[in-house]
Amino acid sequence: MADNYGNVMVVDDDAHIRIAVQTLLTDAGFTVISVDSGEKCIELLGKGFSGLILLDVMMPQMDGWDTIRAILDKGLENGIAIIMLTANNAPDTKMIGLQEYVIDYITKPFDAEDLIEKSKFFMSYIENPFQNRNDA
Amino acid sequence: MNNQTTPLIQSEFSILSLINNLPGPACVTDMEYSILASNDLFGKIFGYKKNSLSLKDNSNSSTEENLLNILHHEILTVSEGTLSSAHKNVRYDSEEGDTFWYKVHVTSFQDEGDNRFLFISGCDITAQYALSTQQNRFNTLLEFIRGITESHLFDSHPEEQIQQVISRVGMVMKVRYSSYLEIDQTSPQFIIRERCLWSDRSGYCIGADVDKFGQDSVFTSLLSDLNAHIPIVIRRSHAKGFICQLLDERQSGSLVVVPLMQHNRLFGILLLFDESESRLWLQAELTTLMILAVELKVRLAGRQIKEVLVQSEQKFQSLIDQIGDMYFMTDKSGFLIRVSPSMAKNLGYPSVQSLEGNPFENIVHPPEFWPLFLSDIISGEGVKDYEIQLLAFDKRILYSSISCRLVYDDGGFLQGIEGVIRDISRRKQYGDLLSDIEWKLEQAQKVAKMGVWSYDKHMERFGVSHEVFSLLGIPPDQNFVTIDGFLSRISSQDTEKIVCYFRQDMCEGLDFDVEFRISLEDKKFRYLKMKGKPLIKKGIIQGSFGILQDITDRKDVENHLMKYATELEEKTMEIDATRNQLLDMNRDLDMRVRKRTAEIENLLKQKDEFIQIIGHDLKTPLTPLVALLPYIRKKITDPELCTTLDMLIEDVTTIRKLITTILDLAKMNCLYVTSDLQCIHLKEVTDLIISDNAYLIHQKSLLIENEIPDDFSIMMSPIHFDAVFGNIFGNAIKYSYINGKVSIYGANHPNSVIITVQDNGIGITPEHLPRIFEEFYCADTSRHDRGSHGLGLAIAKRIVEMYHGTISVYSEGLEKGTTFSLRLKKNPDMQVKDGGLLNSMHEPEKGGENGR
Repeated sequence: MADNYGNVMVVDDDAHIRIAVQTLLTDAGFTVISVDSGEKCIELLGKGFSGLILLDVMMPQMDGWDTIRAILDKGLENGIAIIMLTANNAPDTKMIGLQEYVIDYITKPFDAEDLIEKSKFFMSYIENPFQNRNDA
Repeated sequence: MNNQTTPLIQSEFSILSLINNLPGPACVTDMEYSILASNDLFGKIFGYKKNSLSLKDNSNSSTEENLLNILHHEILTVSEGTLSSAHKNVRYDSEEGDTFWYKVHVTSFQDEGDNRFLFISGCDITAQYALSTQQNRFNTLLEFIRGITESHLFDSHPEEQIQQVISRVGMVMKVRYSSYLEIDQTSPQFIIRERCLWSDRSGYCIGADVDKFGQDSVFTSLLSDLNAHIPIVIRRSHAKGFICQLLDERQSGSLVVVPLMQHNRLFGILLLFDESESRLWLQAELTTLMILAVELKVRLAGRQIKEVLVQSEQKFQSLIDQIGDMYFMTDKSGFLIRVSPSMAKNLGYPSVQSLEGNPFENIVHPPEFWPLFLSDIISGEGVKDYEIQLLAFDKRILYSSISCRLVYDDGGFLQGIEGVIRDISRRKQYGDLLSDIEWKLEQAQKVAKMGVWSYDKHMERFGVSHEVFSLLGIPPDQNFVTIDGFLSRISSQDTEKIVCYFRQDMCEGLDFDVEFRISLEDKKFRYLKMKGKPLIKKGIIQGSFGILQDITDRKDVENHLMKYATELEEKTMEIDATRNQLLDMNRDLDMRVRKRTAEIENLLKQKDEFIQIIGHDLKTPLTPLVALLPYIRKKITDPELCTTLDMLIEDVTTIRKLITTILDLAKMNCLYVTSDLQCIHLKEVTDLIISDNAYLIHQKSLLIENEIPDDFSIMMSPIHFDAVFGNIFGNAIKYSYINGKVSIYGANHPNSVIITVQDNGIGITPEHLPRIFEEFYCADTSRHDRGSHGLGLAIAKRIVEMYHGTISVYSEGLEKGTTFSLRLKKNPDMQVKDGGLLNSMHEPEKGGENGR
């Protein structure tokens, strides 16, 4: 891997999507870690993950919005940028009040270029996307 | 002096001492008028120097005559011996300005030597002289009074009379001013006016303003005396206040005030101003003045009475002329000696003169009536409102009413007849007309079965018209009905009602309207309607009057109508019942429809939710396909596989498009519910939406200007606003060129705000503009990129319309950019906040926000 654009965490309950995203972004030069639930995402954040989070909105038990709320509750919002992965391009009532913590939306199904370009672009919003916050 | 004088000289001492001791001037001369002896007074009074030798050589300073000239006649008479002595009153004006009168005696005497001498001596008679002058004046005044009483002075105009009297009194009394004050005591405040002022020097003058007399305490204190007919003399030294001022103005020393009384009321005052303060006003003079005042009063009053008489006669005449009544007077033979112009006119005579002189008999019609008329006059000492026909000059017959009386002279002898005649031909006409109308009315009443009645409260009976009898069923042999007779006819059930009406309404002066029945045979009734009004004369209720009408026919019709009405009512009630049933059914139906609708809505909602879920479930497995297939395609090199993969990619793209469209349609339906209304701060929310598009903005390096003022707000569901504005703004970005610019403006209108999104991108051709908001309409294929299915603007439009807003688009054509305008109702709070700033653009303080 010549380039390393930074850390990306994929949070999606659908394994195929996780694989697709991981494949594409790894290939594009990101360090990708994928989890299948919001709880695990929080867990990783708690362990000091820093970087871009691709967060699925519709997940069983804890959905994307719940996850953001939990991140905010635990004060883990530093050092990350959240892009929502959504199958629904209609505005959602649950998102109200949380929009400002979302940097962008990627609507499923998405194009590979779209995903890669957006990831690259929003990576610049993160102070230090390459290292674990706890290491710093 | 010669020797002849010796005897005198001898007795010089005695004569000189005698002369010196005299109280008046005295001297002794010889017959040649040489002064032999004189006293000091003589020289002083008659102006001789101390050592004057002759009577001739003196020059009296005031008269410029010497004594010889003054006493010429007397001296001559005495010296010639015609008389032994003579005298004359001589006036002497002293240097102090006083006037004295001296009675100067001239006598002759002889001495022992038969020498004759003249003895001239003066005696001061000033006081007596004044007395006699006053006596004279008094006499003159009396003469004057006599004169005015006998003269025709008072026939002249009253103003002139007073002037005459005042001037004459002034002249006679030799005063400086004489004046007449008129007093009006009828009003509470005294009104005093100087009606006439005469001055001995300049004649009639304009009177002074003497109003102050009324307020002058000195004058008012004099009033009781004046009211008691007492004339008052006021002297300068005793005068005070206004009187003093008046005396000074008129350079007078004393003032005589003479009251003029009538009916014990002061109505005028004579004022006489005399130059000297010391003038002696004799009681007799004052009495005379009082007599004059009384005379004046009598004359003035007499004059007034005459005037009143003349006036009333004139009024009477003009009244007679005006009212058109004819006045006439005959002599005792019955010839007209005086007629009013109206009489001549009414009878058609060319002039009064042509009628006068005719015997009254000639104008009475028919002539045989005259003796009858005359005997009526004579037996009744006159007649009153006697109707008579008169024959006019042109043989017309004049209906007239005559009132006349016999006129006697002071001696009780018959003078003639005097009276007035009134033309009553008009009245006669009206009378005929009236009786005609009455007859018609009676006929009409018969036809209408209506009678007229009047009730006399005191007589307790009815005066009724003929028709009433037949209505009540009473034989018409009397012209009235008693109240009992009336009540006995009324059906027993209604009697009480009628009695009540009569007792109450009539006594209270109210109108009444009552219906009652009269029993006929076979248990039938006649219905009668009685309407009444109080009969009020001079404010007292005398009874009442009104009509009585047979309403039996009407009652029958009414009964029929009542029956029909009842039937109609029953029918109506039936219809009402049916209608209520229908209403109930309708309500039930409505309920069912509502329930059904709710069910359908619920189902629709379920359907949408289902589609959403399906869509999601379809999209999720599609995502790896869409994302990975092109990636794999890049990785492989086998041409066969590439072709197959390309085919797969195409299929996936088709499925993706289909799913997106289905989901958007479903979304459209679920959006159209207004819920969750919130206050949206436009600036804040639009900034957020801009930042949501940061990626695309960055990609195209767009310049975004958000110039919406900070305080703009609307009431809307945030989701709806996001959908609408997100769509418009998204389009603006999507169709902008690299390095383009998107501007957002806000404008404030009375009830709404207008948000404008302007880009300088690819624009829209005119033919596409009108259809751009249609569902599934795509402007052109070049715009129709992935994911776009032509629903976005349609959704935006429907949402905006849901909020009664408008959305519009403007473009000058391809490559000329596009402008979208949103008009939305503004938040009422905002309206209050910027009340006066309507229709004004809010210019932002700083530039818009750039994309990050």
